[in-house]
Amino acid sequence: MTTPSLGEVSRHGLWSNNPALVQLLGLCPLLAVSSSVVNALGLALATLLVLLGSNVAVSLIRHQVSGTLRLPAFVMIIAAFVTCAELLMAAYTFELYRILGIFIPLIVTNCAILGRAEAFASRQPLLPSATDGLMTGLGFGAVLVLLGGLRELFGQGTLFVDMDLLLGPAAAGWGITVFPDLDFLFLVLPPGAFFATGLLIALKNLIDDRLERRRQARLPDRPRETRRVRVTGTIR
Amino acid sequence: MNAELPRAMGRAALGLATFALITAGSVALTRDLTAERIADNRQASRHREVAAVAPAGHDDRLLDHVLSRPAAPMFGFEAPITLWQARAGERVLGVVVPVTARQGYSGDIAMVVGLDTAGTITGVRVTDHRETPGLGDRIEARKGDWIEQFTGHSLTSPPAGGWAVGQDGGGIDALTGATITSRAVVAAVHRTLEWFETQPGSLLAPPATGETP
Repeated sequence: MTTPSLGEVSRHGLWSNNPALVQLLGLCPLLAVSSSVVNALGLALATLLVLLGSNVAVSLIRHQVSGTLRLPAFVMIIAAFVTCAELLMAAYTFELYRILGIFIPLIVTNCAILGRAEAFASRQPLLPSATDGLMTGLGFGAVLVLLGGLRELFGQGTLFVDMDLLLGPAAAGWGITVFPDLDFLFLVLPPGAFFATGLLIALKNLIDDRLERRRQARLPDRPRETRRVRVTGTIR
Repeated sequence: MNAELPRAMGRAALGLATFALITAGSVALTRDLTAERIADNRQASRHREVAAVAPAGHDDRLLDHVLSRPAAPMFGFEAPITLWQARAGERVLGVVVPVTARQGYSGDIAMVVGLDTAGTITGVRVTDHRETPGLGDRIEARKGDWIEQFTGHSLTSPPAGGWAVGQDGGGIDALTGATITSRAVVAAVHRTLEWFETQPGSLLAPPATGETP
């Protein structure tokens, strides 16, 4: 397996292979915790930390662990990072730790993390692996925060409420009420999370489609393809 | 039998054990470094909750004055009760009782109820719950003032029969769309008041002699 360039790794993690919108991994925490920006950001940071740490650790030991030991070793590494992240959150962002509750230990079950360890970090040198962890984490986190913002804004009519739980007293005044008296319960509850995620996926596909069409249009006039009958693949 | 197999197994076990040691060690180290801070956080958070409902004028050392009472299943206390006395010097101003409402819409609702010496409520706060966001979670003080309405009431105010939500013929307004949640909180507060009545004086006894004030 050749080592892809860092730019390529970043593009994959953030967009073309986004864990939440393309791979559809880690949906359980994504849907459950994205009811407000502060919850989403908290889980996004914890996931990012774990993903970065586990990718680095897995990459460092990739020559030492043999085939049979690989998966149990990865699971142990990820579990250790998650437990450390949980302890750190309990120590430094206690109120948020209480709100996120069970979803912090459940980062362990986010298949995006084991997926990146197995598919990428176990075969690649340190720097690309770290970049991959960072970018995949950012890609996942961006979707999480976007979803949190959407659901908070159109579900409760507010934005950035309670940010001080995560960012300290300086952020206490960040909360803004956009639509007073809005109470669109559907978006606050899990079904709304499914719908909002679906809309985000559709939006991403739409953008991809537009980009592709523009790229096609910019290409110099190619000689018209001769029509031929194909038995496999799609006919364009 | 393949002679290589036992050796391979031994190597794998050794490798895995090394890994377990390293990962468990790093978790232990992190725990060691954060344990004190986490304990402080828990204590501070508890203190904030208790102080929010305690009778005014206490010495701010609420968590130091702990009382224990046996469980009282009749009043909803399934486990032995550990409560806090609000004191000003030797004088006892009231108590703060941790209460669990078991008939919430989704699971238990943990609360603290503050009572003065006359059995009048000085405050109620919900400390932990899993009620529906947007509906039942308005029992939280930071999401609405519904929980404040208990302050100033006692077993006889509202009078008999009044300790229920409006839908059940009582005198307390339920949260819109969260009748079950409201009912559970009201019932738990009411039971706490009834239990307080069965503890004549003993909860309000001044600190025993010999105890550090």
